[in-house]
Amino acid sequence: MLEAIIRDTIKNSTPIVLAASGGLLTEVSGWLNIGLEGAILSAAFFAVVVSSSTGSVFFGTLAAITVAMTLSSMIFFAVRYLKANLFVVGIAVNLLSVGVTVTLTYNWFLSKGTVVFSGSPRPVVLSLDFLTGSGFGWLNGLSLFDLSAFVAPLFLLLFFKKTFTGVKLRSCGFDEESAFYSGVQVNDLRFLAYIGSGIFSGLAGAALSIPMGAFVSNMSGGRGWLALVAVIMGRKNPLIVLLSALMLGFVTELSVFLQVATEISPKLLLSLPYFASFIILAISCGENKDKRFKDW
Amino acid sequence: MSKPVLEINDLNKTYDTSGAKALDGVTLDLFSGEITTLLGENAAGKTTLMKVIMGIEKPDSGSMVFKGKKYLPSGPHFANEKGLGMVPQSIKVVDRLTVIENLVLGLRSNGKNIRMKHYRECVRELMKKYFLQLPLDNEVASLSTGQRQKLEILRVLQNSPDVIIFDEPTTLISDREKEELFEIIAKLRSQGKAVVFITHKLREAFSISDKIVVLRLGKVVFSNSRYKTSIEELHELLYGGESCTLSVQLPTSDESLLRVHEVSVEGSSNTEAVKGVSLEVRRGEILFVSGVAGNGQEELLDGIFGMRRILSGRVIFEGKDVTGLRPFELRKLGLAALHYDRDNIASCRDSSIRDNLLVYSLSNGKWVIEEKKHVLSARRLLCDYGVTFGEIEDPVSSLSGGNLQKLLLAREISCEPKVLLLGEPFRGLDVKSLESVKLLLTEAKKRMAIVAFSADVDEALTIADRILIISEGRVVYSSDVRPGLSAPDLRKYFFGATEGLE
Repeated sequence: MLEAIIRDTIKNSTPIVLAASGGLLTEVSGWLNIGLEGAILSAAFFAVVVSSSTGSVFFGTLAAITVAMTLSSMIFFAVRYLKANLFVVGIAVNLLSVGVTVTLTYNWFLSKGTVVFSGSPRPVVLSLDFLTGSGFGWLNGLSLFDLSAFVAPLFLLLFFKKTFTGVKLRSCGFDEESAFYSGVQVNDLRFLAYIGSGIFSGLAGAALSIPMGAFVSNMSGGRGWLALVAVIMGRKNPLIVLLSALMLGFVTELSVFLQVATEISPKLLLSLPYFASFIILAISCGENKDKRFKDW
Repeated sequence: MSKPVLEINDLNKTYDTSGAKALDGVTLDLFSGEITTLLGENAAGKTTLMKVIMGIEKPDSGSMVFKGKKYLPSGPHFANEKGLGMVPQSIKVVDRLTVIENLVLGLRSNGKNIRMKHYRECVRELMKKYFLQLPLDNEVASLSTGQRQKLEILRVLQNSPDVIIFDEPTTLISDREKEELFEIIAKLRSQGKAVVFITHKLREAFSISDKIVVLRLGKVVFSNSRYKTSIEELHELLYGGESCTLSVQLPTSDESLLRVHEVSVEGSSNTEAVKGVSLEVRRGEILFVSGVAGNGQEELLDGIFGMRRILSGRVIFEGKDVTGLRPFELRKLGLAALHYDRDNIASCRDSSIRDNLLVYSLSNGKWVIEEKKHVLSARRLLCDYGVTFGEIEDPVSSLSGGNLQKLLLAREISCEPKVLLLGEPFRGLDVKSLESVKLLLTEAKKRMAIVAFSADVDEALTIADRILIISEGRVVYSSDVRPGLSAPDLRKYFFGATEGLE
């Protein structure tokens, strides 16, 4: 029972953790990517379509990453060269994704709701006999996606602290003018961050649809927004981002469980993660404390 | 003569926002092993020229040749890679990163693949070489202004560039740090670097440079070896021979307007920055609070003006206890302050000149803004105080440092406060603006009491009625200004070596 809860929490958190890692990269660069939700959704659609038609999880994932990278680069270029507003373009990408995926499911599969790809390949899952009963039994049943979700924040931690590029990237988020004067190519680094954010949200989308072998309209279901919440709660620290994302994944899992176990309105329960994040954001003073000028 | 490292040919630059011609056919050659000083008033185009060299601004026409090749910079990064470096006028470091991380930002890549661990060694060697010691793992936010500037210098020097530009480096630092800086510059010359030193202080220019170039309104009006000119000639060129002397003394009334009694103010990270300072000012006098920057002067101003927590002691304004009141309450009572930090706190960079000028008269409780009246009064103020500007609706960030300073003084004085606190009123002003600001202050002190916080003792002596020196948060010296009191005498007290005379 406990193992199942842990495993399900992790599986639920995987897309959130991955997307949050992508969001974190852009947050650290100073231009937080609002389009995560849309990137996940489009990526999820193309992941399952390509993997079922090629019969390869790898190609599906590759397609998902390409699509998500295209979307986040679109946001970046619109903001950098057309001087568009970051929030507006981000939201536009989210809306675009909803529209495009619905239209394509209808055009290609004549369905507006759910498309099930019965023959599509599933990712390999961990199944090691000796783990059972050793306290790590929950590791069995996790796929490569879930494992990559745990490596991603750790990778970012090293990247930010130990590499020159990581340090330069962080400087853009703290003080872009000083960074520019110091000789940092601020916008080129931001592009890098957006490419990275595309890779991570592509993985998140693939992790969402490929194990299920189906695409449901609007299947990202707010995970991109939850990832943004995790990024903001994490205050630019990859480990806190990871913990926040896990916590949100757990609350999502909890709401599913409560729907089955209790008689509370399921619609209300679906909003549980949002309530949780609202409360946490309100309690944690966050970074704003430093920025705000004292007026007591 | 050898070939110049950097040739600048006929650069022109006009700013779109103001239509002002910042560079007008500037031609200049920089040679290795030579210190070139760029002299000029505020807004003469010195900084613009440097920004063009670093690629921050694009020139409208003209060309540059660096080491015999055409040079078209696209930004500081490009300039760094080629071998040009600049220490900018206002300090540009990232507060939230550590010192070593800040150094990484300016590191030229040039193909080498240095590891973080190895890099630390390189930086240590560099610090030894130039006698610049900095705590590598501290966050930059905890560094003093002088240390930040050292960090910027290191950031440039680590790439061993061929051309190094110092844009008004002496405005922010103490005399001792200035000497260290000059030593570094001399060392760079002996290494065969081309050094550009920008200043508006004649004496500094004269003491260290080989060649002096004078800019006026974007034009090079003079360029010659230092040995073939004289201070008088340069003064004539720069300021058209104008000079004015000030009569200072005014009878002071007995009525004490502001009394600060044994005040201790919180510094950063739970320290005490000001330790039991007392002072008193009367109408008709200018009190200077001086000492080496970073010894508690800024915090004292913040404390009196309610922007920082007072730990103990009282501030009494016209007999009323105003300790810990908020700035807007203090302003209502008639206490005004001009903060040290012009760019971030004293002004709102993206708002228009007009809005910045009228921000207090706009918040007088009325619902509707009387547009015409305000524009008129703003124009009159700008004219009275001699602020040079493009359009009244331009953002304040389009003004040069000296003009912004005059605008802010105009704002504070025009509110007619009873007591005016000024943080570094003379920072970054050229001689002409300096004289006019001094005149303004002597005029203003007839109506109010002025407390100026400034590290510049020489200027303080020309205008102050009384001087107070603070060292490590304590008053170490306090005296009336009388003939015979000289700056070197006062500097002795700077490091708190002697007990204060009363």
